[in-house]
Amino acid sequence: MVPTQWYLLLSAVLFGLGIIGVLVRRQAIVILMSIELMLNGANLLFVTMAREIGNLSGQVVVFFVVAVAAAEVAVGLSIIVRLFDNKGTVDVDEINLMKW
Amino acid sequence: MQPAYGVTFGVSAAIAVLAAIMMITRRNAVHSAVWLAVCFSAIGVLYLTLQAPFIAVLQITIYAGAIMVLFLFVVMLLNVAAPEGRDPLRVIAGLGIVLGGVFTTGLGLAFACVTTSADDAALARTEGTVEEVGKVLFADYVFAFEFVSVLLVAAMVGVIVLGVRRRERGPSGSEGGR
Repeated sequence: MVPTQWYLLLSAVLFGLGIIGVLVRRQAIVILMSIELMLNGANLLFVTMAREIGNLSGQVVVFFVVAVAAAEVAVGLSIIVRLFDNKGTVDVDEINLMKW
Repeated sequence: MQPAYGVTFGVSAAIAVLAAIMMITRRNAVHSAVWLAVCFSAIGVLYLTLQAPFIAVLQITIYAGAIMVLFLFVVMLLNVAAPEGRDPLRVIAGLGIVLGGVFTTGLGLAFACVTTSADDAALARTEGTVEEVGKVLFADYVFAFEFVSVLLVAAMVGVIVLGVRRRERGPSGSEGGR
C-alpha cells in the first residue's frame, strides 16, 4: 500500500497548480479549467482520507462534488459564450463591465 | 502487490503533475484542454490504487469524458485558440506564481504533519465498489442525492436561458421579441 502522506502531498501540489493557473492565466476558459484542477486536488484528498479512516462517506462526497462540478462547468461555459457574444473576447483583463 | 502499487502511484502522479503544469503553461487553449484530460485520466488511475473503482469510473466518464468534451467544444466554438498577447503586467504574473508556491508549501507542510496510524491491513479493508458506495449513498445521503437532481435541473434551465440569443436590435427585425 502506498503511504497516505504521498497522496496528501500530491493533492496539495495539484491544488497549488490550480491556484497558480487561476492567478496567472487571463483566458476565462483556462481559469475555469484551473478551477477544475483544484476540485480534483480536493477530491483526491477526500478519497485518500476515506481509505485512511476506513469510511466510505468520503467517496460519496466526491460523487456530489463531481455532480456539482458538472453543473458548474455547464453554467460557467455558457456564461463565457454569452460574454464572447457581447464583448468579442474572453480575456478577463478586457472584461470590466461592472467596474465603476 | 507492494511494488506494483508503488510503481503505479509514481508513474500516475508524475503524469498528473506534468500534465497539470503543461495545462497552465500552454498558450493555446486547445492544448490546455487536452493536457487537462490527460491529467484527469492519471488521477482516475490514482483512484484505482486507492481502492475506489467507482470513483475512478466516475472520473474517467464524467471528468475526462463529458466535462472535457464540453470544454473542447466551447474552445473550438469561440475560436479563442489564438494565444494570449504579451502580458503587460509580468510582475503580477510572477507574484501569482510566488503566492501559489507559498500556499502549496504551507499546505504540504500541514499535510506532512498529519499522523497516519492505519496499517496496510486496515487500509485494504475499505473497497469503494459500486455496491458499497451505493449502500452508503442511499442510506445516509439519500436526501442530498435527490437534491442533486434539483441542482442539475436548475443548471440545465439556467444554461438554456443563457443560450437563447435575443435579437431585439437585429438588422432584420423579424426575429425580435423571441
